[in-house]
Amino acid sequence: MNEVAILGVAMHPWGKIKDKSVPELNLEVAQKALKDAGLEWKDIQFVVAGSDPWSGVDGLLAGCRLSQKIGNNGIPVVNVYNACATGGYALKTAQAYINSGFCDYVLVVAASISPSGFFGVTTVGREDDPNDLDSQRFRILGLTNPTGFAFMATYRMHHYGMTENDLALVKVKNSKFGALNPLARFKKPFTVEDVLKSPMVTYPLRLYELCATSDGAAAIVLSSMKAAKKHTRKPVRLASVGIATPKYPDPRSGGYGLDIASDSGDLEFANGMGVRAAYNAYEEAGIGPEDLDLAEVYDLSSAFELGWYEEIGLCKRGEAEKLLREGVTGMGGRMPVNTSGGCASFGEAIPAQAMAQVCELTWQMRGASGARQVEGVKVGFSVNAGKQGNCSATVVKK
Amino acid sequence: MSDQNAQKKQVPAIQGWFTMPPQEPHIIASKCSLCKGYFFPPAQVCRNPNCKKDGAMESVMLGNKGKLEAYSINYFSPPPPYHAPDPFVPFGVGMVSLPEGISITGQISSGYDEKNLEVGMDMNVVIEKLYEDSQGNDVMAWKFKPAHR
Repeated sequence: MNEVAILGVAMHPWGKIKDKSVPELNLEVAQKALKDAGLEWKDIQFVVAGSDPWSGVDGLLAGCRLSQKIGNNGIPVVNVYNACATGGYALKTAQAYINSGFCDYVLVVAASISPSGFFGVTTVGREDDPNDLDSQRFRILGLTNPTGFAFMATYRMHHYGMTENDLALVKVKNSKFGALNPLARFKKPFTVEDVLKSPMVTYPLRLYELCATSDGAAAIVLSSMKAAKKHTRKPVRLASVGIATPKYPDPRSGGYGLDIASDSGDLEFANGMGVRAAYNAYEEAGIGPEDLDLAEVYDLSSAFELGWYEEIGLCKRGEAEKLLREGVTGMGGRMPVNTSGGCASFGEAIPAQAMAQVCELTWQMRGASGARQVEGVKVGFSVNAGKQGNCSATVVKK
Repeated sequence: MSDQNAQKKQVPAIQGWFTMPPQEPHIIASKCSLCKGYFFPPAQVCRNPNCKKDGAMESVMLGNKGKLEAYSINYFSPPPPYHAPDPFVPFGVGMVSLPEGISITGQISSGYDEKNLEVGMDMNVVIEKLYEDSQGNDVMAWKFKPAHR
């Protein structure tokens, strides 16, 4: 089986991007990543593009529109969408084609221009349709994404003694890293007081403990390890990509508290899909959580960051708050988490966000993360989860 | 005023997902006759991948007392098709586990917030008004209400 190298990475700074469309963003990051890899567009044999749900055909056929812009050359172009885990699924697709020997050079790319405020339904006029579960979620339950995210928070407060101070502390920690990342959207270092003064959006989560909806773009050039050695002496390795979908009776099969009901069975508030994605990635890379030097975890809310500490095996159930309070996952800690600044500093550009995590890990492995560089890192890990229970995880090795 | 009230009808948000007054309040789920799994919203086919799936799906009323597993209070109006009152009134949303081992999400009756809700508390299923539709009917659905307050 051919091993996979991360030959080139690039990101457009995250923010609210007014002057560029999704195809323009994809073109820009694709060209940057190719340059970073030392390749030209004509070297690419396969494209996997993450689709943007908010940009019509430009977003759905993101790879085709990129190809049209950069010069159609007849190669396979796959467009994928798996909600927040889109980038992970795109990388898995690319990895499989390289593993199998089908090709040596793959471009993975995604961009998003998203609406502001709460994500709503993408179907209009179907509010009476019992099969349109998203319409019924908003109409009958009034259940926004952040409200679904808050369920884990009240659950943790009751069972594990999480406090409002802990929720604020996650933002404080991540904003310290984000302040050192030129690509981040929010670069202000926050204090606990700043966070606790921000408006309560959905108890117990405040505005600054929730992920904003952002615009951004990322591109990653993957190659076989053999091909990579023609371009660089010591390529960073994409050691594994784990993906997972819900499995009956996962209690939260709609993803993160966004469903109308659980399946019958286990009612523990656990993200079974996220755990499986993480351990699929560990198994494929032949490592365990004890081998990690740093991790990027999906902090759509401060509470989720704490949930991940347990789900990816950094600590036992109910011990995440202790890790946070003791600074283990902070700057200079034994196991830094979200050195990029995380969703707290970036917001979320849905199809590109899981790729942004891998870009950060790659820069860390290269020793190119500037002021937020963690010294001596050899093994990095990323994990994320999204709507409909789509989850992905990666292991990136020096 | 009284004339309007006489014509005002109560209509279910979705037909067949719950009982309507004056019946006892119950959420209506599907039960697989083979694997005995419960499913909500009602399912045409058993959603257990390990079930043979050729069994009948029976319509059953779920128990109407449960426990609050987790909750949140919405302090900002959700986007449509949520029908927000003007001015917006904050409201609770909770996940309640019912005796059959299925957990259902729903709004919490008005008048409750983080000061009087607690994970683990006993909750009753109630059928209450969500909003008034364009014909002036009260659109009804399930909500949860603390049992002892």
